[in-house]
Amino acid sequence: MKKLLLIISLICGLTVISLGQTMNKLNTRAKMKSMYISNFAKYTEWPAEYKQGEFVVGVVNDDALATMMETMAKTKTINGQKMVIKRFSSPSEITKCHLIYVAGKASGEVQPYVSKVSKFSCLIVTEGAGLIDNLSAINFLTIAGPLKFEMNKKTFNNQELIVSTLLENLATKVIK
Amino acid sequence: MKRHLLTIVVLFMMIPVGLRAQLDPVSLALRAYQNKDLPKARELIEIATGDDNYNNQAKTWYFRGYIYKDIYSANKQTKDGRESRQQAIESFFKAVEYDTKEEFKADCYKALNFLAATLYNEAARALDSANFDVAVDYFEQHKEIQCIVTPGIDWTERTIDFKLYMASKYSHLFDNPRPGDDPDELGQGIIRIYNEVLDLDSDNVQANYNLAIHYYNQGVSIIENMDYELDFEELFAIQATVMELFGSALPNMLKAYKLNPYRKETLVGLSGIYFGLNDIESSEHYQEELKKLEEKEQN
Repeated sequence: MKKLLLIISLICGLTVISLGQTMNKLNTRAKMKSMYISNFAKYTEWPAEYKQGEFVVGVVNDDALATMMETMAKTKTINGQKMVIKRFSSPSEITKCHLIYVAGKASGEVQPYVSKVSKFSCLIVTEGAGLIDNLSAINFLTIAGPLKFEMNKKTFNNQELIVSTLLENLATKVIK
Repeated sequence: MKRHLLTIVVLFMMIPVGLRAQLDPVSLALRAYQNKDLPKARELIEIATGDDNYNNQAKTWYFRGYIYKDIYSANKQTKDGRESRQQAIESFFKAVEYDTKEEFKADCYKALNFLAATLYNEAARALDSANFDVAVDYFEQHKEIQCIVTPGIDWTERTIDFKLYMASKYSHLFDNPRPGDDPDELGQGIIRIYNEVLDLDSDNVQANYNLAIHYYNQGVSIIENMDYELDFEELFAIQATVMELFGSALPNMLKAYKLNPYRKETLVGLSGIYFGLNDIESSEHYQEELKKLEEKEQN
């Protein structure tokens, strides 16, 4: 009988240690953003000289997003061009990009990178309040709920990029 | 068991010599039992229980209970063994029913306690091999016996433990399905069981936490497996589904937090859920709480 009670208590013990479910680890926002970014590229048109060779995506100070984009680049092409991801952590590292995502909430953090890429036809994507006004072409909104973005058509024009009507219609706010 | 046998022998000795000489089926069954001839003992005790002269006597059912209990003990994993256990349980209850002088009651209850424990163990084993219906059946049988034999047990707590264990097994299968398993069915099963636990005890931290994690993990899994070729339209539809799942996770995780604000897993969970809901401020708030908690632990 003692042995039996021991078995029961062992089973109860197992119960206690096996209850906690494991939480899946994934940067859900980074994955979502990577999907949005590839769609931003899909609905943007670059000048003719940018339509050949590799499609370069620069990622500044966001390792999680860069990792997601690198995984994506293994299989996905953008408008028929092979995707290449470059990680940058200082403005001096910046080279020619088709698209750049700059992490940073303050315009002072983002500005140096924007200045560097402004000489290219580069789609500048940011995430921070007010950055859309004069720095980026597309800005992710930091509000709760489904991921949303706003757009500045002036920046598109300055960078000699043509945005599709579909993308424009999906934006929460469009600065014209 | 030796003590039980001694009781039986003493009872046998109490039977008048004249009666014994007539070799009634109960006495013969007892003799066979003492000689460890269980098939013969069973055959004879069945004759006794079919005879109106003996089938209303407590000792007939009491002996029958021990005979079948021993048959079960010798063949635990067989169909005959399990059926014998059932026969033993019924016999002991009948013995108690006819035992107006309460000569056998204490002994019968001890035997029933033992048999109830074997049912509990089998329920646990059935859960381990994912035979959920069988497990529930064994657990209910165990409960039914214990309710009579050991009144006063808190069944809410025991039922919760059983259901939490069952839910954890469902979760394991949900994460590692076998061929033929339906993930939707398993997912629904997990939600149903945790809600059953919460119906019994809405303050159960584990059920609140695990249910929240189940919803959250489903959302994460959908995001993780998204095809990179998805267009905006499909992306928005998926995002709506995922937001709903994260939204479903939140109340239970908040409840788990309210019940125990110092549990690290819950803080990680809340931070993750809010992050998934794109509520970065709230996510960072719980990250900060976690950091403070860890610093406090280190000091």
